[in-house]
Amino acid sequence: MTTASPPAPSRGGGADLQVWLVLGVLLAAVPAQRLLGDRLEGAAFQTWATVFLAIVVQSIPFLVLGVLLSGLISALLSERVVSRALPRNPVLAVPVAGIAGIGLPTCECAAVPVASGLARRGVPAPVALTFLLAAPAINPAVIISTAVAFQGRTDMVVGRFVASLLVAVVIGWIYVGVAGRVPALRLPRISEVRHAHGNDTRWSRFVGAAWHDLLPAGGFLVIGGMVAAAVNVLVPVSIVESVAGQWLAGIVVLAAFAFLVALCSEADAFVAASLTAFSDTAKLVFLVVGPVMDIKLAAMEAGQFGRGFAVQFVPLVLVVATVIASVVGWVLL
Amino acid sequence: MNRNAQAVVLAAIGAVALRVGITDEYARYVNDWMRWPLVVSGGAMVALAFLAVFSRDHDDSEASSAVWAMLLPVVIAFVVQPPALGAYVAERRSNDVSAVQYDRAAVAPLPAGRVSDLLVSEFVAYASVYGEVLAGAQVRLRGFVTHDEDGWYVTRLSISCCAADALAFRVRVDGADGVDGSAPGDEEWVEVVGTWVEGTGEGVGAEDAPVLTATEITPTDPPKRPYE
Repeated sequence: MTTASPPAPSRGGGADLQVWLVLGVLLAAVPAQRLLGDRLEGAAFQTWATVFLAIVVQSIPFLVLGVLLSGLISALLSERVVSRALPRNPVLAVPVAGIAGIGLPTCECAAVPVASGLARRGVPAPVALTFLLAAPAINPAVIISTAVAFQGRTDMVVGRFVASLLVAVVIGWIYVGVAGRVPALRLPRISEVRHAHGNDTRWSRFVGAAWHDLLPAGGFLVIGGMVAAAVNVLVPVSIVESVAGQWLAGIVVLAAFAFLVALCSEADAFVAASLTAFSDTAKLVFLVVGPVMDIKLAAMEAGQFGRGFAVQFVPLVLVVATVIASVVGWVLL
Repeated sequence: MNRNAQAVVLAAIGAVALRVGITDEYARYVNDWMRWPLVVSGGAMVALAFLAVFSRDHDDSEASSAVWAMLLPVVIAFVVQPPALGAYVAERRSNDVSAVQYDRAAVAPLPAGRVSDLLVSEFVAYASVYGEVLAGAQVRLRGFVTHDEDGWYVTRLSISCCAADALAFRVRVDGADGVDGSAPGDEEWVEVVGTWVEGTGEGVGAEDAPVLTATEITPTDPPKRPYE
């Protein structure tokens, strides 16, 4: 099938230029490798490069899975099905979406395109946000890895599940309850996938949605991964541990650490368990904050849902997650 | 960035994923179970790129300029070809004993009269909480060498998802030195046979690493899978 109107000549020229620019960057890597390959031997730089590539490589399968799921949602799920499956009242739909997060056993990179795909199919934005926050935090893979890392500490596993679910539901309710009354609180921008006219087959919806989500999400993930790798390599754990004794500073520092190192939610429990100097509550904060918000998620969300939304959403989630995890830790641990 | 340029970027990053997954390079970055998902998703990215170039079904809207960032991992993978993590990371982490996974039921005393192969992380964990298992037994550890003011260590990193979550485990080696009588150099891979010095490295969160009295130290090649 061809589109009705061919691209304008000026656009066509620009298109070629960009393709050549990309190819040029890729080809320039060959002489760069010859010239620089041996000089880039600093241990810190090489470690950064390994950690950066590890974060990117590790995210790729989850990102592709998330994008394919988002494509499937766009292709198969009709707005009628969505409205029948969810309670009509968003106040009730929010906890349903939170619990539904159990069903998506992936890292956080997969959740962003899936949430965006759900919103495109008529799921109210606050409900989609709750799913976005809950899925990477409370799915079975995360619960099991937490149980393995904290051997015999059922309270830590329960604490993580309860606090993460609460964070997701509370944020959803904030957006349900406040959004109408406080115009300053921005809702996520849900961009429609456009189709060539009269060509709205399931297959084209699937490819269109997958394509639409994959590249920007990947780009922002890379930007977040660069910063996360730098923090990971440059900040020694001993500096973080120097404040472990004070309970408030411990909580704040581990919340910030979780945001900046952007670990995969299936792996963060092992790192948390190794931070032995910290209180259990501070460790719980680390486990609850990381999956709902970190630097690479913040970058991806800014790309997917708009910068104006992310500027409010990111700090809101950080504060709510830190407070709820501290309270749950104080009660349970 | 327009559609065709995006397709080239996507094909390039897909090719990196394919390459890393098909060769042994994956082991520098991610755990075993990530390998085949990586190959499949790399293939899916390349396929989607071709699909996008050769079908004119979809809109030609410009994607955000963040897509340019995706060229960076491709260029770094090629120009830097970063090695597996080593001493730089190990020196900044200590023995993260409480994070070791081991199965309480499987912890039986090691057989007497022959050398048992142990992971460095297992050795550290046993020394901290199951000293009776190690006492008197001959063990063989494999890892790379790190140094500090107390001496040298056989060291191994362990990952659970990807290299970003690496934890370090190290055992101080006492007694015999390298082949020529001196301690082996940083980042050299060695196999060390010896016995645990009872009482060292005991207790969860122990400040000091456990000590191994070595009888035999052999230089060895880096393993295919650098992390435990």
